Amino acid sequence: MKHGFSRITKICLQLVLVCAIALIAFGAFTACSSKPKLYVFNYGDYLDPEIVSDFEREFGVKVVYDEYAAPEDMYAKFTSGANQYDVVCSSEYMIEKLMKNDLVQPFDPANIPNYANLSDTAKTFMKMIDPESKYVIPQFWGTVGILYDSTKVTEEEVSSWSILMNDKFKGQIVMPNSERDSMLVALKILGYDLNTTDKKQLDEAAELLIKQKPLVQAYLLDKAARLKVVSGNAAMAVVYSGEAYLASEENSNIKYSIPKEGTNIWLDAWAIAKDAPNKELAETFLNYLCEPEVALKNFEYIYYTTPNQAALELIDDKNVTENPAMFPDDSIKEKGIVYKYLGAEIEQYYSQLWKKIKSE
Amino acid sequence: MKIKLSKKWLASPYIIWMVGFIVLPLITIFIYGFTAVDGGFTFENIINAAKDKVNMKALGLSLIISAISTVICFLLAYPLAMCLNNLKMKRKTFVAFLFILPMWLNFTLQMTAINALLEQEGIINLVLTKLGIEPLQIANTPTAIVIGMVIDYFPFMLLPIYNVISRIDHRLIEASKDLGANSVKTFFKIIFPLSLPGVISGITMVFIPAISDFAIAEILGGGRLLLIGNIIEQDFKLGRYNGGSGLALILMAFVLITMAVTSAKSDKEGGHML
Repeated sequence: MKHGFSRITKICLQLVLVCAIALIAFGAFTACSSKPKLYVFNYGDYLDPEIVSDFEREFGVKVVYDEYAAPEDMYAKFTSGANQYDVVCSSEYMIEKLMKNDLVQPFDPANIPNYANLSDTAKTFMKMIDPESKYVIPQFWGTVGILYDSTKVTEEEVSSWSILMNDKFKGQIVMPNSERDSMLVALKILGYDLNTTDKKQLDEAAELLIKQKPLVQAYLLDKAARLKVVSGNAAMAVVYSGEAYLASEENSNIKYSIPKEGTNIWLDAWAIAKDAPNKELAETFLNYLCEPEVALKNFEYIYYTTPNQAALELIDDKNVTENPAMFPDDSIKEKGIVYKYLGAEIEQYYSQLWKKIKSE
Repeated sequence: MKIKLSKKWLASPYIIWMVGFIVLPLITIFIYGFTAVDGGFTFENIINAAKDKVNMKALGLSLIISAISTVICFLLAYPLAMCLNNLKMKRKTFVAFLFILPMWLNFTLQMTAINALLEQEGIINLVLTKLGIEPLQIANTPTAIVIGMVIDYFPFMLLPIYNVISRIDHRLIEASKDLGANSVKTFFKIIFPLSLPGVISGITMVFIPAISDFAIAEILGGGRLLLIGNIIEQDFKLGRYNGGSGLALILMAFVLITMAVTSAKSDKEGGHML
C-alpha cells in the first residue's frame, strides 16, 4: 500500500516535471523566434482572418490577434496592462476616451500613404472625434436607423423616429440594448442634441423611453434584433446599418430607413497604443488595411460601409453601391452626428437612467 | 502515519484551486465592497446600493422569480422522485440517464430554443392560433424567466430528493402499514419527514444559484427585465468594481440567510445532504 502509493506520487511528480520543462522550452522557443510581433486588439469577427495571414506572409511578421465583445471589456483589458497591444480597433466614443486619457499616440502620416484612399464622407466624420486627423484610421462606418417590415409599416411612417412611440405597434418594436442608441431615439424625437450633457434633457429623454417601454417587445442588438424583424416576430427594430443589407438579402420585404430628424453616425476605427512596443509595424499594418484590395476583401467579409473610396470603386455590383442603407447619399453629412465621449460623470448618469428604464 | 499525511496531500490540488478561485476573489470583493474609489474604508458602497430603489426593485424581482422557480421545481421533482423510486432496481441506470439528459444540451442553445418557442410567431403560438386559441404573450416576461430557471435547475432539485427517498428503509413503511396507517398517512408521517433533508438540499441548490442568475434573464427577458445579477454584471463590466462589490455583498447576505435557515432545518432533521 505504502509502496504503491509513493510510486504513484513519484510518477505524478515526474509527469509534472516533464510538463514544466516542456512548457518552459516552448515558451523560450516562441520568445526566441526572430519574427517581429504585432499585437492587435479588435472586435470579434471584424477582420477577415485571411487578411491577417496575408499580412503575416507578405511582411514576414507574426500577428497576435485578440478579440473582444463589448467596448467596455476592451477598455478594461486594454488599461489593465496584462497585454501590451500595438493597435486597437473600437467604436468612436471609446477611441475618443482612449485619446482623452492619453492611452493612444498619433501616427506618422508619412508611414500611412494609403490614408489618401479614404472617402471624403469618412474623413468628415473622423474629424468630429479627431479634428487634426492625427490619431485614427477608420475601419467601417454606418448609421443607426429603423429596420422595418414593409408589409406591416409604410415608408411614410418610418420617416420619423416618432413611429416608435405609436401605440399601434405595441409589442412589435425592438429597441437597441445599448444606452446611447436607445436614448438617441428619444433625444431626436425631443429635438435635442445627441451629445447633450444637460441632465434635464437626459431626464426627459429617459421619461419618454419609460413611457415607450410597454410598446417594446425586447431590447436587442445586432443579429438578434435583425432576426426578430426578418422572422416576422417584430415589425420594426432600431439597428446599425450593417444589419440592413443582410436583412434585405434574407427577406426582400425588409427595408431600412434613416428618419428625417437625423441620426447617429457610428465609426469603428483603429488607433495606435501609447506604449506600443512596435509602432512602426503598427503603422505598416494600418497602411496595409487601407489598400484598396485589402479594404475590399474585408468589406466583402463584413458588409458594413467601407470608408475606403478606392475600394468602393472596385465594387461592380450596383445593388451594393446603390444601396441607400449601405452607402447613403451626401445629405447624410448634414443629418449625421458622431457620438462624443461625454465624460465620466455623464457616462455614469447615462447608465443610471438606463438602469431605471430597464427596471420599469 | 505517513499514509495518512499523504492522503491529506491528495486534497491539495483542490485547495489550491479553492484558494485561487473562491477565497481570493471573495477577499477581493470584500476589499472592493468596503473601500471607496480613492481607496479609503467606507460603508458607502453598501449603503448606496441598498438605498438605490432600482437595485432593490431588481433584488425583489430576483427573490420572487427564484422563489417561484424553486417551488415549481419542488412540485415537479417530488412526485417524479417517488415514481422513480418505485421503479425496479434494473432501471436505476435509466434514472441516472434522466438526470444527465438535460445536460447534453448546451445551456445557451437550450435557452435560445425556449425563447424561440415562446416568441409571438413561435411554434407554441402557431399551434394555438391554428386551434383557435388566443396566442400566449409570455416571451420576454418574468414568466419566461421562470420557465427557463425551472428547466435549467430541475435536476438539482430532483437528484437530492431522489437520493434520500431511495434510501428510506422499507421496513418503516411496512411497519406503518402494518399498524393500520393508510398510504396518505404513511406519506405524511414517514416518507415526507424522512425525505426532508433531500428537499432542503434541493431548495438550497436551486434557490441560491437562481437568485444570482443573470444569463437566463438576459436571454429570456429580452433585455426588458433587470435582475440583481444583471446589475452586478453591468457594474463590473463598466469597471464600477466598488459599487458592484457592495451590491454583491448584499446579495451574499441573502445567500447566507438562506443557507442558515436551511442548514438549521436540516440539522434538526438530523441529516446533511450538502
